[in-house]
Amino acid sequence: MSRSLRQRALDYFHHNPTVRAWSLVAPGGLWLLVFFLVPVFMMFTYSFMPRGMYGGVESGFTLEHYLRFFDSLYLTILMRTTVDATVCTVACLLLGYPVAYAITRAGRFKGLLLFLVILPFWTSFLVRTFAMIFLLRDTGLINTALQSIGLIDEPIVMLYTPFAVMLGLVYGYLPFMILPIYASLEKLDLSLLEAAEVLGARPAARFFRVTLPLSLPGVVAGALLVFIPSLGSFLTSDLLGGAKEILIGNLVQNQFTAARNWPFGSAASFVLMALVLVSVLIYLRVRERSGDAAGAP
Amino acid sequence: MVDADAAPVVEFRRVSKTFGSFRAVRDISFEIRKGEFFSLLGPSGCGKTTTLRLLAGFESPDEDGGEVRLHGDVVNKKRPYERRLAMVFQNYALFPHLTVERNIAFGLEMRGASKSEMPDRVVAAMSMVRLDAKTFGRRLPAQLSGGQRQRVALARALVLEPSILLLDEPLGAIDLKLRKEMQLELKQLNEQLGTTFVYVTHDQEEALTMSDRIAVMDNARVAQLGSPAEIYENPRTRFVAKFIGESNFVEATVSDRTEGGWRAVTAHGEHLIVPDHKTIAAGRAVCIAVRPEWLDIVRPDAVPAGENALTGAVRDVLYMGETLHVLVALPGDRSMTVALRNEGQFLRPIPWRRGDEVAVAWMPVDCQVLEEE
Amino acid sequence: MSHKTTRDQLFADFMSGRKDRRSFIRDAITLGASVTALGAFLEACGGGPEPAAAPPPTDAPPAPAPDPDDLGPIGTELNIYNWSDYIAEDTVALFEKETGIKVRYDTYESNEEMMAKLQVGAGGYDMVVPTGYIVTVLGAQGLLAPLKKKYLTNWGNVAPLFLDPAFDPGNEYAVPWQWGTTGIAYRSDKVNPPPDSWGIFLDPKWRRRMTQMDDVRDVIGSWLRYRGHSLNATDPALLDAAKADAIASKALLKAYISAPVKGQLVAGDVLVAQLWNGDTAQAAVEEPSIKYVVPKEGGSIWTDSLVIPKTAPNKRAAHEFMNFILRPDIAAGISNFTGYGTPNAAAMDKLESPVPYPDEEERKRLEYQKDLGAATDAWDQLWTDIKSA
Repeated sequence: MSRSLRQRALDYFHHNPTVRAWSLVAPGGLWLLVFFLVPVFMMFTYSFMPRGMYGGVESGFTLEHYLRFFDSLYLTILMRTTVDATVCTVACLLLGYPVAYAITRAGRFKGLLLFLVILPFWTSFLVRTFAMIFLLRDTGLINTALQSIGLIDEPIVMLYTPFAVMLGLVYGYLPFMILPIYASLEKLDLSLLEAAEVLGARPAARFFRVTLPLSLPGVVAGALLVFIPSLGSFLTSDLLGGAKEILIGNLVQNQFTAARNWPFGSAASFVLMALVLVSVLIYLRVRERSGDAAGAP
Repeated sequence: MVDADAAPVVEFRRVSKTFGSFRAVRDISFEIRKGEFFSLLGPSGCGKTTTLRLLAGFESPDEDGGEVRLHGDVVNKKRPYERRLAMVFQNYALFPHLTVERNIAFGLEMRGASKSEMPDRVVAAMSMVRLDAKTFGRRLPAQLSGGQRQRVALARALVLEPSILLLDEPLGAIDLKLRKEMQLELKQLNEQLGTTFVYVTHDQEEALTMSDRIAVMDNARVAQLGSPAEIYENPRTRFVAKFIGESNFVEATVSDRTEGGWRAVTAHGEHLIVPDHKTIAAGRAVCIAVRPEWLDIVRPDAVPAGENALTGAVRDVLYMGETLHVLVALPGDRSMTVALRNEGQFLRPIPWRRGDEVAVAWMPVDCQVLEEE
Repeated sequence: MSHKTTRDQLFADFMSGRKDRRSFIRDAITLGASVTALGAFLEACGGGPEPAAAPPPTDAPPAPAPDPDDLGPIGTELNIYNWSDYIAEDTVALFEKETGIKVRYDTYESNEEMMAKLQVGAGGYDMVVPTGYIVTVLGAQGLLAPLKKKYLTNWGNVAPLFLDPAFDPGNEYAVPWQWGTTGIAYRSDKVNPPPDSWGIFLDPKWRRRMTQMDDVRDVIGSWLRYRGHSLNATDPALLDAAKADAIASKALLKAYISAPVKGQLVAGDVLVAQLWNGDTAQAAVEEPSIKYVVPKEGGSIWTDSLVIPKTAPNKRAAHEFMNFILRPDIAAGISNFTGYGTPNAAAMDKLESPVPYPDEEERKRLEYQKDLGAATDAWDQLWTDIKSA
């Protein structure tokens, strides 16, 4: 490109903020459009079409897949999945918050500790879940160790129980809780805590009245980052739960494989997605309200 | 307002504070009396903030026998929430998630004030700092200007009706005009409420304006403690003389006693009379400080009898508004600044021009003899 | 293929389980211990170098022009899509060396994965390996190309048992690849008397020491056979009875788990498991007390076959490969590696530990799974019911 042409292009760029903004958004936006929105739209379309006998869909329009979902069988699964995801989120919060808090106070070990938190991401989720199997099973590491030091005679049944599923979920998603909470605690202005202390706040009051409310954005972000994927999880319940229970994620997976009912799988995904969307919207609305109440004179 | 005979409300007795190998505060002692406006003044890193934090309870003193006392009780190990003080922070430290009202009520809640009287006390505190409760009560700190935030921070402290109020450079972040206004208001509050103010600042003018007494801190120690006039007019050390206002320094060697003082001679053979001082003895080196406004400029042949005079040449004349600063170059690469009252340069111009041979003259009593640091 | 992806592949196999035909543990050991094995594996995946001098094809056909059965010249490429770890390490390399055809070799983990690719027309594959009833499904959708028998000069080696199967009458599309049965694997040192019925999965004595496969066809199929019915039944009354049995048994089961159960059988966590014969044989290599039985009520038998997609670009080369693996020495090599039975009668005496063909008595008890067609949804709902119970 000749210098003058290059200069002209730069000038054009410089004097057109709209062009400039769009050129920044375009690559990511295009990516999202092609690889996220288009598939989602396709799934949405599928969910209203009759099922193809051997997979895929046939042309036509039907609501049967959504109607089918509102059977008590599937609603129960949805309910159980929601409860599981909620328990997992709460457990991650209770375990993750103190860890995040400790890391912000860890001084020169901060980097090391953060590194340790993200270390599990270096291997695939699958591999880590398998490692969990070798830990938990009757002849696994934990039971063998407990037996060899004589604490127990019979192995404790851990693998293929609801406990194992929860353990796997919490283990898998804990970093997603720790990191955003850490980020919001890290930003916390320590002089606010000193101010509270001078004003008479003891440690518990300082935590609940200052630290916790100010780290709430991190808590909410972490909760969403844990809740949403655990709603859709299916590997953990298969591998650590012995596939004895079915969650929404397993249901959807089955529809796209063995059951060859793509439209029903799509419909189930959309019900799940709607649920997530509604809960996020409720959260935003609540936050907006409290913001209004605090703001306007 | 200040009762000089009453028991001190704050006492520091030989207090030191060491962080690792850094000695932030070394062996400082002072007392603050009830109702006093007491300033800790010094450049950054001098230890003034550490001193305030020792008082607030964020730091505890080194365990070497030093004591911090509040109302007579040793509080070395007491946490801030046990000290019942109030404090205004440099960056205000307002809780961003709470409204102005809730910020101000925070301390009342923490100290278990009765719920029914809380709203009234909040409104009263806001009016004390001249903030309209109706307009600002329900705003969040982010919706306020710097000056308004400053007032909220002050109200949050005052609502507790503290006997001692700590202020850590509270006016540092607001503009000059508003700062002057707030200085006056703070002084008025101090007098009206009878609250003891402990005020940290690096602004010497601010300290001189507001304080009953000032502790000038330098290098982790109290360099001088006294009223603004004492500090300004009798600086004990070269540091104090330099940090508070402007000063000219002259070094000389004492020779012998004479009427009203001692004779001394500079390295350039100039003869001076310096007043009596405990550190002066025949044959010793002496450093004296003279404020620019106490100096006069005369023709070298017209030095009034009995005055000290040094001869040199005018190097520059600076127009300052209220005053004119005349810089006079002396032999040996020395110089002195003389502040002359500006009586109107169109009607009564000063007669000195750059290059004029002049004498800088002052009365011996105006010499401040400095101690070695 | 990098070392890392090989390892991931291994774990993926281990995980998918459903139709995994190879021992994860053995693979892991092989991978960890032997760089040579890895090299061979990589070569098998199509990364091997082309032979320096390609020898002429063994049986170059005559080329009469207007014959509709004629597929033209042999070509230079072949794209194979097979289950992972379902071929001998040297099969592809030998084929390439003999024919000069360059093979691209991809793998999949489930019939559904392969079907999805064929249905959307992706891949450009010349050969896939569906399980029996999937051949019917693909054929019904018109996705398969009929075989040209004249190229399959070794066809005579196929055992009579595998000729004219129900899922592909007249062997129109499919060349049999490997076969196996689904029955019960058990620890003969712990389980006495040895099980002979699916009813073992209702015996509280083995509570939490038993597993069934994580596949509705296998679980419901076993309970249908237990009550004396076809494992392809669609009658709701029969299915409800099977569901009741399955729910009763679920309370006693440790888990629904397929191929990965081998490790737990070896370790002794699991004593009784619904499993395929070949995987049982693999586990028995490590723990000889592991035995296999097809229950008296019967179980399922399956054959995986080579078929050619209609869109295959190299149909002639695909036939060449089919004929190649129909050779006794090649077929024996494959089964020696996979541990499954070979449908190649001529290869039987070349096997290290041959899986004998079922005799007349056994064949009465063995049934092929058929595609359930419209009943697929009902079966899936059944599965959901069982898992939600």
